[in-house]
Amino acid sequence: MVLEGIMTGLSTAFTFTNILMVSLGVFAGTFIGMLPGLGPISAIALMIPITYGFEPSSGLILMAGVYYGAVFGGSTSSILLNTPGEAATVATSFDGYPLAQAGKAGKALATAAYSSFSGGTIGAIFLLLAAPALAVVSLSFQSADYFALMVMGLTAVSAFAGKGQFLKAVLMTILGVMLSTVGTDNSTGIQRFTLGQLDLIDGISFLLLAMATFALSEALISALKPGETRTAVAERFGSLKVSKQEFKEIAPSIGRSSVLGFFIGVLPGAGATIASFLAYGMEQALAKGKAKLQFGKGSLKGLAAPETANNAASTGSFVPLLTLGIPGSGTTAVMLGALISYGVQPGPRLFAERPDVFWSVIVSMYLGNIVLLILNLPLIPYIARLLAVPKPFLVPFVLFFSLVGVYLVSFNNFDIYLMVGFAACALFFRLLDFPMAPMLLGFVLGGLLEENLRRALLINDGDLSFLWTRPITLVILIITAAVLFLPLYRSLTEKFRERP
Amino acid sequence: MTKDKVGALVILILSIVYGAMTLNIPEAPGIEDSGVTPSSLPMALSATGIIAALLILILPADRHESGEETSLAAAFKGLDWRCAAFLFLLMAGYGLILKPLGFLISTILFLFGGFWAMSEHRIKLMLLVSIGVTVGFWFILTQLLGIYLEPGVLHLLGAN
Repeated sequence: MVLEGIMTGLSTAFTFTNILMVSLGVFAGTFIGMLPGLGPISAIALMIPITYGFEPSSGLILMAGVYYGAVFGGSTSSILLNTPGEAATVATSFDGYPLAQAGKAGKALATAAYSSFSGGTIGAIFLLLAAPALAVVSLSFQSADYFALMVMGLTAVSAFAGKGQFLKAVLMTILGVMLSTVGTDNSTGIQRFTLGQLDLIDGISFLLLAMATFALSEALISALKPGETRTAVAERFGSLKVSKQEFKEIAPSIGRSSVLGFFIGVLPGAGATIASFLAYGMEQALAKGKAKLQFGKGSLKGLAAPETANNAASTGSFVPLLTLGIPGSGTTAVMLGALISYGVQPGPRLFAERPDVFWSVIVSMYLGNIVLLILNLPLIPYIARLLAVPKPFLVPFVLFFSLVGVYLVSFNNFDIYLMVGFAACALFFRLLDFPMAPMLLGFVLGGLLEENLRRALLINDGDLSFLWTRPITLVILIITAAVLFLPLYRSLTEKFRERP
Repeated sequence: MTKDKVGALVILILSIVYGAMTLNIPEAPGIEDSGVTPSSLPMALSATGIIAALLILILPADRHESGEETSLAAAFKGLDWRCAAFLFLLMAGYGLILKPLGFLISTILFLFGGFWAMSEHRIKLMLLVSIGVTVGFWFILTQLLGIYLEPGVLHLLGAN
């Protein structure tokens, strides 16, 4: 069954068009990922309108390429300029930037590319093995279990939001779910929160919200900070070569970080950021003597671990997306939006009804990895020149491409005004250090949460007892409660301990 | 007031307003007994939002380990608000002129204005970049991808 699936995936992915798609995707993703404000989420969101007319598998293959390219592009700006374009590459800059400062930018970028490739490869192998198994298990899921899963997805994203961020992430998640309720209620046809605006009857577009809260607000934050110029620090690239001895040193770190990253990625809401930080922490804890002191000062292990983990986690986050229809991260949330826009509903049925899409995504994830390594390594010195685009030109370009990206979907000016409004709110909340990713996940999961709860209640004659009588639902809800209350308990006890 | 508390206060107000608007959602006939009505989730969201926001407002404020200030004033200090405000106006203006002036003219104006707002004053370079990027993008969209874009006033000159 698995072998047959892989063959299906290979035959779909290895066509001239799809190889061209993944190559173009990787190339475009790398460029986009290096730009401030345009991380993997924005890069994929930008691709949605472009790929509207494509076959679902071709569109997704292009997006897989864009995804890997953008993750690598983010690492490039992290290493060269210490400006991580997104949270998942923050840990990369801890040792990547000092390496670049020491004139070893080439080595650092090559290590990042090899580590990403290894993390992606091991992640793809796990994905091949775990996704079908999980898909079989998930076939026994009913609306009640899905409802519980959506709740878990919502709470997990908040719980993993970071120290001191828990309540803020909860608030942002709620805000996201609130926004998802705007428009016509699918079950009853009743309008909610449309303020009498015809343009809001269909609700708020996910792409619009993603572009406004991520790309626009990031570009505006960049414009708000005067004097911050983008000087190309990494003119001294040094060699791209990584010696045999250095490979031997980082190999165990890559192995450990791949496994850790993948399993963290599988958890809904955990994602690449947590994986990269945990991998960095784990390697630092395991290092001894001189190697330990090197962390933060240009350790290759310290660079390889988060790079491997974030790629493995990115791959892992496709397990819940493809098999359960739950996005495990902000990026896969955008992917979910893209899948739905193609008329493909991820979940157990995807595996049965559209095996070509299911398997071609898995195979193309790996293909994306290979193309990334082949294409990007020789191009690194040239790609990095993009970073020298001066801020006065870069910011208006980001704003323009974001606005036009959304306008081209609806051709409705109202969407531009709505984007400006959301960008202003997002800017305000970002300046206050409120995380945006939980809001986006809340928005995506909110509609599904309500729909599944309704369906479950209809099946059970309006009786809520399914919450504790169905074993799968109960287990998921218990895990959810643990995920939700442990950080809350920790956060509250810490706050009371700090109270003078 | 710290940044967290200001943010929480804003979301508290939003949750209250959202809750008040929930009261205006009409009940769908025939589903009152099914357990979930169109206003059930919004009600629950409003209540949860209020509780979570109140928790942040009541609990002691976070203090960063680095000693970094977490006050609102510190977060908003030293930022180039004039530039940001101009960019906001520019984006809203772009929405206004996109249809009447057409994609080409409004995009050139938007990019040129954006460069100006970002303190770039080399007029020739700004014109070259804004016209070059706009025409290049327009060519890809209309000629290669076959996407229709508003010609606006250029329509009067015979353009499609």
